[in-house]
Amino acid sequence: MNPQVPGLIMITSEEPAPVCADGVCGPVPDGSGAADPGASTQTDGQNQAG
Amino acid sequence: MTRPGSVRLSLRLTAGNTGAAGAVGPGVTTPLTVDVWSDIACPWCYIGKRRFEAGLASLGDQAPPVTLTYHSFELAPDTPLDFEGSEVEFLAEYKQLPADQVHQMLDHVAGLAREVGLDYDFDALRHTKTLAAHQLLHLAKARGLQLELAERLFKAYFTEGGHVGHVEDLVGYAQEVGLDPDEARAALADGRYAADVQADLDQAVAYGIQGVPFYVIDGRYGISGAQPPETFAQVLAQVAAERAA
Repeated sequence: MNPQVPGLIMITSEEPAPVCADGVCGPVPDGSGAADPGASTQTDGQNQAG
Repeated sequence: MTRPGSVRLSLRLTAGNTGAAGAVGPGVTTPLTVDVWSDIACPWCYIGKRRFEAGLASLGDQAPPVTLTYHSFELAPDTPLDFEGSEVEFLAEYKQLPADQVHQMLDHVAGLAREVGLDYDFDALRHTKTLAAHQLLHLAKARGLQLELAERLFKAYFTEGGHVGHVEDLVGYAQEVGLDPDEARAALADGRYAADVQADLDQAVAYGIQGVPFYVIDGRYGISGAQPPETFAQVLAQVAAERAA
Protein backbone atom coordinates (compact mmCIF):
# COMPACT_ATOMS: atom_id res chain seq x y z
CA MET A 1 0.00 0.00 0.00
CA ASN A 2 1.36 3.39 -0.89
CA PRO A 3 1.42 6.05 1.79
CA GLN A 4 -1.14 8.79 2.01
CA VAL A 5 0.46 11.99 3.19
CA PRO A 6 -1.83 14.89 4.02
CA GLY A 7 -1.08 18.06 2.12
CA LEU A 8 1.37 16.49 -0.31
CA ILE A 9 0.96 15.19 -3.83
CA MET A 10 2.46 11.75 -3.53
CA ILE A 11 4.52 10.21 -6.28
CA THR A 12 3.28 6.65 -6.26
CA SER A 13 3.41 3.47 -8.22
CA GLU A 14 2.66 -0.18 -7.88
CA GLU A 15 6.22 -1.01 -6.86
CA PRO A 16 7.07 0.19 -3.34
CA ALA A 17 10.50 1.63 -2.64
CA PRO A 18 12.43 0.54 0.45
CA VAL A 19 12.07 2.52 3.64
CA CYS A 20 12.92 2.07 7.29
CA ALA A 21 9.94 2.20 9.58
CA ASP A 22 9.64 1.56 13.29
CA GLY A 23 13.28 0.62 13.50
CA VAL A 24 13.05 -2.07 10.86
CA CYS A 25 14.53 -1.75 7.39
CA GLY A 26 13.25 -4.56 5.29
CA PRO A 27 13.94 -4.96 1.60
CA VAL A 28 10.52 -3.72 0.59
CA PRO A 29 8.52 -2.96 3.73
CA ASP A 30 4.84 -2.28 3.58
CA GLY A 31 3.78 1.33 3.66
CA SER A 32 6.26 2.80 1.24
CA GLY A 33 5.60 4.48 -2.05
CA ALA A 34 7.56 4.50 -5.22
CA ALA A 35 7.58 6.02 -8.61
CA ASP A 36 9.03 4.58 -11.74
CA PRO A 37 8.62 5.10 -15.42
CA GLY A 38 4.92 5.19 -15.97
CA ALA A 39 4.10 6.06 -12.41
CA SER A 40 1.54 8.68 -11.68
CA THR A 41 1.13 11.25 -9.02
CA GLN A 42 -1.88 11.34 -6.84
CA THR A 43 -2.89 13.68 -4.14
CA ASP A 44 -4.42 13.26 -0.81
CA GLY A 45 -4.37 16.97 -0.59
CA GLN A 46 -6.34 18.84 1.93
CA ASN A 47 -6.32 21.69 -0.53
CA GLN A 48 -7.41 19.64 -3.48
CA ALA A 49 -10.83 19.36 -4.92
CA GLY A 50 -12.58 16.19 -3.86
CA MET B 1 -4.78 2.54 -2.95
CA THR B 2 -6.53 5.86 -2.93
CA ARG B 3 -8.47 6.71 0.13
CA PRO B 4 -11.70 8.70 0.01
CA GLY B 5 -11.10 12.36 -0.74
CA SER B 6 -7.90 11.88 -2.65
CA VAL B 7 -7.51 12.84 -6.28
CA ARG B 8 -5.48 11.26 -9.00
CA LEU B 9 -3.83 13.92 -11.11
CA SER B 10 -3.18 13.68 -14.80
CA LEU B 11 0.55 14.29 -14.44
CA ARG B 12 2.46 11.22 -15.45
CA LEU B 13 6.14 10.52 -15.17
CA THR B 14 7.50 8.69 -18.15
CA ALA B 15 10.93 7.71 -19.25
CA GLY B 16 10.83 10.36 -21.94
CA ASN B 17 10.16 13.24 -19.64
CA THR B 18 13.74 13.64 -18.54
CA GLY B 19 14.97 14.17 -22.02
CA ALA B 20 11.96 16.20 -23.04
CA ALA B 21 12.50 18.69 -20.25
CA GLY B 22 15.24 20.38 -22.19
CA ALA B 23 14.65 23.80 -20.74
CA VAL B 24 14.62 22.63 -17.16
CA GLY B 25 17.93 24.04 -16.05
CA PRO B 26 17.82 27.42 -17.73
CA GLY B 27 14.14 27.87 -16.92
CA VAL B 28 14.52 27.67 -13.18
CA THR B 29 16.36 30.40 -11.38
CA THR B 30 15.14 29.86 -7.83
CA PRO B 31 16.40 26.52 -6.53
CA LEU B 32 13.94 23.70 -6.04
CA THR B 33 13.68 22.81 -2.39
CA VAL B 34 14.22 19.21 -1.46
CA ASP B 35 13.47 18.43 2.17
CA VAL B 36 14.53 14.98 3.31
CA TRP B 37 13.33 13.30 6.48
CA SER B 38 16.04 10.87 7.42
CA ASP B 39 17.86 9.18 10.26
CA ILE B 40 21.58 8.50 10.46
CA ALA B 41 20.72 4.97 11.60
CA CYS B 42 18.67 4.31 8.47
CA PRO B 43 20.51 2.21 5.87
CA TRP B 44 18.03 3.08 3.14
CA CYS B 45 18.58 6.78 3.84
CA TYR B 46 22.28 6.57 2.96
CA ILE B 47 21.50 4.50 -0.12
CA GLY B 48 18.74 6.98 -0.96
CA LYS B 49 21.23 9.82 -0.62
CA ARG B 50 23.49 8.22 -3.22
CA ARG B 51 20.58 7.46 -5.52
CA PHE B 52 19.29 11.03 -5.27
CA GLU B 53 22.75 12.39 -6.02
CA ALA B 54 23.03 10.07 -9.00
CA GLY B 55 19.60 11.08 -10.25
CA LEU B 56 20.40 14.76 -10.03
CA ALA B 57 23.80 14.26 -11.67
CA SER B 58 22.20 12.32 -14.51
CA LEU B 59 20.41 15.47 -15.59
CA GLY B 60 23.76 17.03 -16.41
CA ASP B 61 23.58 20.58 -17.62
CA GLN B 62 19.82 20.40 -17.46
CA ALA B 63 19.80 19.74 -13.72
CA PRO B 64 17.78 22.37 -11.89
CA PRO B 65 19.39 24.15 -8.97
CA VAL B 66 18.41 22.35 -5.79
CA THR B 67 18.52 23.31 -2.14
CA LEU B 68 18.71 20.12 -0.11
CA THR B 69 17.85 20.13 3.60
CA TYR B 70 17.96 17.21 5.99
CA HIS B 71 15.28 16.91 8.65
CA SER B 72 15.29 14.82 11.79
CA PHE B 73 13.51 11.51 12.07
CA GLU B 74 14.19 9.10 14.93
CA LEU B 75 13.77 5.65 13.57
CA ALA B 76 14.05 3.91 16.93
CA PRO B 77 13.65 6.36 19.80
CA ASP B 78 13.90 3.50 22.29
CA THR B 79 17.48 2.75 21.29
CA PRO B 80 19.88 3.08 24.22
CA LEU B 81 22.95 5.30 23.85
CA ASP B 82 25.18 2.26 24.28
CA PHE B 83 23.68 -0.92 22.97
CA GLU B 84 26.06 -3.76 23.71
CA GLY B 85 25.47 -6.11 20.87
CA SER B 86 25.34 -6.54 17.13
CA GLU B 87 22.81 -5.18 14.67
CA VAL B 88 21.31 -8.64 14.46
CA GLU B 89 20.98 -8.83 18.24
CA PHE B 90 19.44 -5.36 18.36
CA LEU B 91 16.74 -6.20 15.83
CA ALA B 92 16.12 -9.56 17.43
CA GLU B 93 15.87 -8.09 20.92
CA TYR B 94 14.03 -4.84 20.25
CA LYS B 95 11.95 -5.80 17.26
CA GLN B 96 11.49 -9.50 17.99
CA LEU B 97 12.67 -10.48 14.53
CA PRO B 98 14.08 -13.97 13.93
CA ALA B 99 17.87 -13.86 13.61
CA ASP B 100 17.78 -15.67 10.27
CA GLN B 101 15.39 -13.10 8.88
CA VAL B 102 17.60 -10.26 10.10
CA HIS B 103 20.70 -11.80 8.51
CA GLN B 104 18.87 -12.14 5.24
CA MET B 105 17.57 -8.59 5.46
CA LEU B 106 20.99 -7.09 6.20
CA ASP B 107 22.67 -9.09 3.45
CA HIS B 108 20.12 -7.76 1.02
CA VAL B 109 20.61 -4.16 2.13
CA ALA B 110 24.40 -4.49 2.07
CA GLY B 111 24.20 -5.83 -1.47
CA LEU B 112 22.18 -2.87 -2.66
CA ALA B 113 24.52 -0.51 -0.81
CA ARG B 114 27.45 -1.96 -2.75
CA GLU B 115 25.63 -1.15 -5.97
CA VAL B 116 25.88 2.55 -5.12
CA GLY B 117 29.45 2.32 -3.88
CA LEU B 118 28.81 1.96 -0.16
CA ASP B 119 30.56 -0.75 1.83
CA TYR B 120 28.23 -1.37 4.75
CA ASP B 121 29.77 -3.18 7.70
CA PHE B 122 26.90 -4.37 9.87
CA ASP B 123 29.25 -6.45 12.02
CA ALA B 124 31.11 -3.32 13.10
CA LEU B 125 28.01 -1.12 13.39
CA ARG B 126 27.47 0.41 16.83
CA HIS B 127 23.81 0.93 17.52
CA THR B 128 23.00 4.11 19.40
CA LYS B 129 20.42 6.80 19.93
CA THR B 130 20.67 9.45 17.20
CA LEU B 131 18.98 12.40 18.88
CA ALA B 132 22.26 14.22 19.57
CA ALA B 133 23.40 13.60 16.00
CA HIS B 134 20.22 15.29 14.79
CA GLN B 135 20.93 18.29 16.98
CA LEU B 136 24.40 18.51 15.50
CA LEU B 137 22.95 18.35 12.00
CA HIS B 138 20.90 21.42 12.83
CA LEU B 139 24.00 23.26 14.00
CA ALA B 140 25.68 22.21 10.76
CA LYS B 141 22.70 23.51 8.82
CA ALA B 142 23.04 26.88 10.53
CA ARG B 143 26.71 26.94 9.50
CA GLY B 144 26.10 25.80 5.92
CA LEU B 145 27.73 22.41 6.46
CA GLN B 146 24.76 20.11 6.89
CA LEU B 147 25.28 17.96 3.81
CA GLU B 148 28.92 17.47 4.71
CA LEU B 149 28.07 16.39 8.22
CA ALA B 150 25.26 14.11 7.12
CA GLU B 151 27.64 12.35 4.76
CA ARG B 152 30.30 12.07 7.47
CA LEU B 153 27.89 10.63 10.03
CA PHE B 154 26.39 8.13 7.59
CA LYS B 155 29.86 7.00 6.59
CA ALA B 156 30.99 6.64 10.19
CA TYR B 157 27.91 4.70 11.21
CA PHE B 158 27.54 2.30 8.31
CA THR B 159 31.06 1.78 7.03
CA GLU B 160 33.51 2.56 9.85
CA GLY B 161 31.89 1.21 12.98
CA GLY B 162 31.90 4.74 14.34
CA HIS B 163 29.79 5.87 17.27
CA VAL B 164 27.35 8.66 16.42
CA GLY B 165 25.82 8.99 19.87
CA HIS B 166 28.69 9.94 22.14
CA VAL B 167 29.34 13.66 22.41
CA GLU B 168 33.09 13.53 21.86
CA ASP B 169 32.76 11.28 18.82
CA LEU B 170 30.17 13.64 17.36
CA VAL B 171 32.37 16.64 18.07
CA GLY B 172 35.19 14.90 16.23
CA TYR B 173 33.05 14.35 13.15
CA ALA B 174 31.82 17.94 13.35
CA GLN B 175 35.39 19.21 13.43
CA GLU B 176 36.31 17.05 10.44
CA VAL B 177 33.74 18.81 8.27
CA GLY B 178 34.75 22.25 9.41
CA LEU B 179 32.53 23.01 12.38
CA ASP B 180 33.96 24.65 15.47
CA PRO B 181 34.41 21.80 17.97
CA ASP B 182 33.82 24.06 20.95
CA GLU B 183 30.56 25.31 19.49
CA ALA B 184 29.50 21.76 18.65
CA ARG B 185 30.26 20.57 22.16
CA ALA B 186 28.41 23.51 23.70
CA ALA B 187 25.41 23.03 21.44
CA LEU B 188 25.09 19.41 22.47
CA ALA B 189 25.55 20.31 26.12
CA ASP B 190 22.86 22.97 26.28
CA GLY B 191 20.52 21.46 23.72
CA ARG B 192 20.07 24.68 21.81
CA TYR B 193 18.88 22.77 18.74
CA ALA B 194 16.57 20.39 20.56
CA ALA B 195 13.54 22.48 19.62
CA ASP B 196 14.53 22.37 15.95
CA VAL B 197 14.80 18.62 16.09
CA GLN B 198 11.41 18.41 17.73
CA ALA B 199 9.94 20.70 15.09
CA ASP B 200 11.16 18.30 12.41
CA LEU B 201 9.69 15.34 14.26
CA ASP B 202 6.40 17.20 14.64
CA GLN B 203 6.34 18.07 10.95
CA ALA B 204 6.92 14.44 10.10
CA VAL B 205 3.89 13.54 12.19
CA ALA B 206 1.87 16.31 10.54
CA TYR B 207 2.81 14.99 7.12
CA GLY B 208 1.98 11.48 8.22
CA ILE B 209 5.48 10.20 7.52
CA GLN B 210 5.89 6.70 8.88
CA GLY B 211 9.08 5.63 7.17
CA VAL B 212 12.29 7.16 5.88
CA PRO B 213 13.84 8.36 3.72
CA PHE B 214 11.01 10.66 2.76
CA TYR B 215 11.45 13.48 0.27
CA VAL B 216 9.34 16.60 -0.14
CA ILE B 217 10.03 18.41 -3.40
CA ASP B 218 9.21 22.10 -3.53
CA GLY B 219 6.94 21.69 -0.53
CA ARG B 220 4.33 19.96 -2.69
CA TYR B 221 5.41 16.56 -3.89
CA GLY B 222 6.10 13.67 -1.54
CA ILE B 223 8.34 10.75 -2.44
CA SER B 224 8.75 7.84 -0.06
CA GLY B 225 11.71 5.52 -0.01
CA ALA B 226 15.11 5.03 -1.57
CA GLN B 227 13.92 5.42 -5.12
CA PRO B 228 16.01 4.56 -8.16
CA PRO B 229 18.09 7.47 -9.51
CA GLU B 230 15.98 7.73 -12.62
CA THR B 231 12.89 8.34 -10.52
CA PHE B 232 14.50 11.22 -8.70
CA ALA B 233 15.70 12.60 -12.02
CA GLN B 234 12.25 12.39 -13.54
CA VAL B 235 10.55 14.05 -10.61
CA LEU B 236 13.09 16.86 -10.41
CA ALA B 237 12.83 17.46 -14.13
CA GLN B 238 9.06 17.39 -13.98
CA VAL B 239 8.80 19.84 -11.10
CA ALA B 240 11.37 22.13 -12.68
CA ALA B 241 9.47 22.05 -15.96
CA GLU B 242 6.27 23.00 -14.14
CA ARG B 243 8.08 25.87 -12.52
CA ALA B 244 9.46 27.06 -15.82
CA ALA B 245 6.11 26.84 -17.60
